[in-house]
Amino acid sequence: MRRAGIGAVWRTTAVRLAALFTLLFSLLLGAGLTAVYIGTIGVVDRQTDATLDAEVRALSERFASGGLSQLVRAIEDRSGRDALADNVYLLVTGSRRRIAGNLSGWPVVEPGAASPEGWISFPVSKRDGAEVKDRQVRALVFDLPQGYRLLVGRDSEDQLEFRRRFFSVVIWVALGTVALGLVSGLFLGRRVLARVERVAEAGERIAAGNLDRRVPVSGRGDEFDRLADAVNAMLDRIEALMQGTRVATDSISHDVRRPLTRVRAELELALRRDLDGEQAQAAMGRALGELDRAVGILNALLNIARAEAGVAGSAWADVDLAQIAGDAAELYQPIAEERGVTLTLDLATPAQTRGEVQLLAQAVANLIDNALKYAPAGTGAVTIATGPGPSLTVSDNGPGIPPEARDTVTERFVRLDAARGGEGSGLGLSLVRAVLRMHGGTLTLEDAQPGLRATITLPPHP
Amino acid sequence: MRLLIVEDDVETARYLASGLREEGHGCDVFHTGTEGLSAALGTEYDLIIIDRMLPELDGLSVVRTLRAEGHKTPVLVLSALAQVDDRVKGLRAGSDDYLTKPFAFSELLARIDALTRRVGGGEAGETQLVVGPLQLDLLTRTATRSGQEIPLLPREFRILEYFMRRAGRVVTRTMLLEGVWDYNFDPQTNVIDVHISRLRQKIDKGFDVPLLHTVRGAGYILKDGA
Ligand SMILES: Nc1ncnc2c1ncn2[C@@H]1O[C@H](COP(=O)(O)OP(=O)(O)O)[C@@H](O)[C@H]1O
Ligand SMILES: [Mg+2]
Repeated sequence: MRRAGIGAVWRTTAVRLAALFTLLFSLLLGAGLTAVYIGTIGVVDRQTDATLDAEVRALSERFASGGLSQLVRAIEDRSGRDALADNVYLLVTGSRRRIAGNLSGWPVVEPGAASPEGWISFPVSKRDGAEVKDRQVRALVFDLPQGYRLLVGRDSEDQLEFRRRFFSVVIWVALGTVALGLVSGLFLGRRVLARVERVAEAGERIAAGNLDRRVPVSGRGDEFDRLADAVNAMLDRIEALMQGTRVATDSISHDVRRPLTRVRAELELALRRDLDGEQAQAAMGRALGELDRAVGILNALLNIARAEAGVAGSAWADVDLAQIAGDAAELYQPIAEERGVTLTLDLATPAQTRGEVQLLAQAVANLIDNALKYAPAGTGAVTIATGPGPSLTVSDNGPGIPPEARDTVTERFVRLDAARGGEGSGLGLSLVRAVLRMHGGTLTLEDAQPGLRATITLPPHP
Repeated sequence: MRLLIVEDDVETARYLASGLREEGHGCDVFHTGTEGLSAALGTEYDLIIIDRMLPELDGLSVVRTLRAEGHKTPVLVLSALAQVDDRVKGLRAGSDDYLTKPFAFSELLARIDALTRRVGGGEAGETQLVVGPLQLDLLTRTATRSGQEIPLLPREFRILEYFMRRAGRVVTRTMLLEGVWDYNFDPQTNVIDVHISRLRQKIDKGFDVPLLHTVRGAGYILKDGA
């Protein structure tokens, strides 16, 4: 793994995943601890406050019913003048002079520290044996009639201590969570991603030219094995394509060289023999014909290559296979008649799809061309029919294509009857297949008993 | 006619210019898109022949600029790209015709001829095409020769109409495929020849003077016997 500064580290998926999960987990933990806090300390706090509130109310009622003397007695009863008691009472006059209670004097409270409802909090020094401790008291102050003031409080030091402990535990837990989350996240992430790294490494090596290398498969059958399998399948396909390209290039050089050789021969002979006007004309005419043939092969190859690489483009439109077939059949009708082949059309089934009209028309034309070419002269019968799918079938009653050859005839330059000679360059079916692949369709070659039934199936119109 | 040739390959440009001069045309030759554009903007030409791929400014951009400037001179685009939608792109950019390299010179001549001479019978409301003894009624879709009706299939009618609108001019097989069938590709077998020979059977058979002639190495021509 490359390490170049914090930016590069952050860019690794392992780090980002670890950070993300730590963050998520911390948030969850925070929510949980908050709930615990509200459910424990919060409840105790509220209970204390409620008790103090009830106490104040009871004492003020005592004052209302029994006057000052009753109140003083009640306070004295409850506080027992014990400076160490948890409960704190103090009753003062309007001039803050102590009347009763277990507090020596009115506490010093920072101005503004009292809540509007009269809640205050102040420290009290308590002697516990030899020690003097500062303990925090929470109290409620209540103004009685005639200027008397009542303070009822409770030692809240234990609660505060609990709260302090709680928060220190929270902080340690939080730190621990983050640390553990990051470390384990990083560790796990690195372990998992190390396998991705291996795929990437293999990819880099392959890109560097080592085409026969493959991504290692662990055999566990997990997602990474699926990734490796997919990558390996892709590499197999690339290798096959490369192989195909090599073969095609060889055939191209071979098939284009043939007409060029003839051109060369024609021209050279014409020069050498010093042909007279008419003969020279004829030789050059033949040479031109061969050149046209070479150019035709190159154009056909370009079209195939383009269709093979093609995707839906601006030239795509809604097309009706029935109409394409009808037009093409009409173009070939005179040829059929000339060869004594009956051409039957059954285009009643609509066959709407989307695609490049010119390429689809050329594909259909190639199929019809073949059917007419290979159907027996004089007794030939060719049927063109649309079907569901949408699909289009061109069948003839010629020799057909043997099952074992049905895959290879769609390769470039493959001609089964090459030995018999005749017209053709073996590129017709290659174009059909390429055009269909480009359109997401298929070409199926079947036995028409006798003859060939070629069916093209395209995706239905969306 | 005065022609402007914009082609970066010097050999091709030279061969184009000398061939067209032999045909009696005057030719100005430029090798870059910008030179070609300023020449086209500065001089009145009858036709512009422009290569699609040019240094500085490509052919289609030149055409687009010309059209944006309001120039209506016909433009023929030459291209080494033979793809179906390239032709469409070329025409969409405002050019009038598109020819793929390498091309037959006769094909080029036929197309120049087609571009610079107004297509016959283009006027709105015209219902009759006449070439010598041959008459085509566009409303009733009937053809007669010397008053004698010739029964034609719909496609044959369209082929004949195409010829009659270009009477006296060479029509190539690709022009027919593009103009009558709307096909931008070459069918493998020479189907056009069969169509033409059938049409010829119908309009010339039994008459002394043939009207539909084969032009060797180029295509066909429909012309009054004279
Ligand atoms: N309808 C058919 N009947 C019999 N054989 C056929 C038919 N169509 C194609 N083939 C065989 O498949 C080969 C490849 O066809 P194609 O690619 O069109 O090339 P081409 O027609 O130029 O020979 C042909 O040479 C022929 O042997
Ligand atoms: Mg074929």
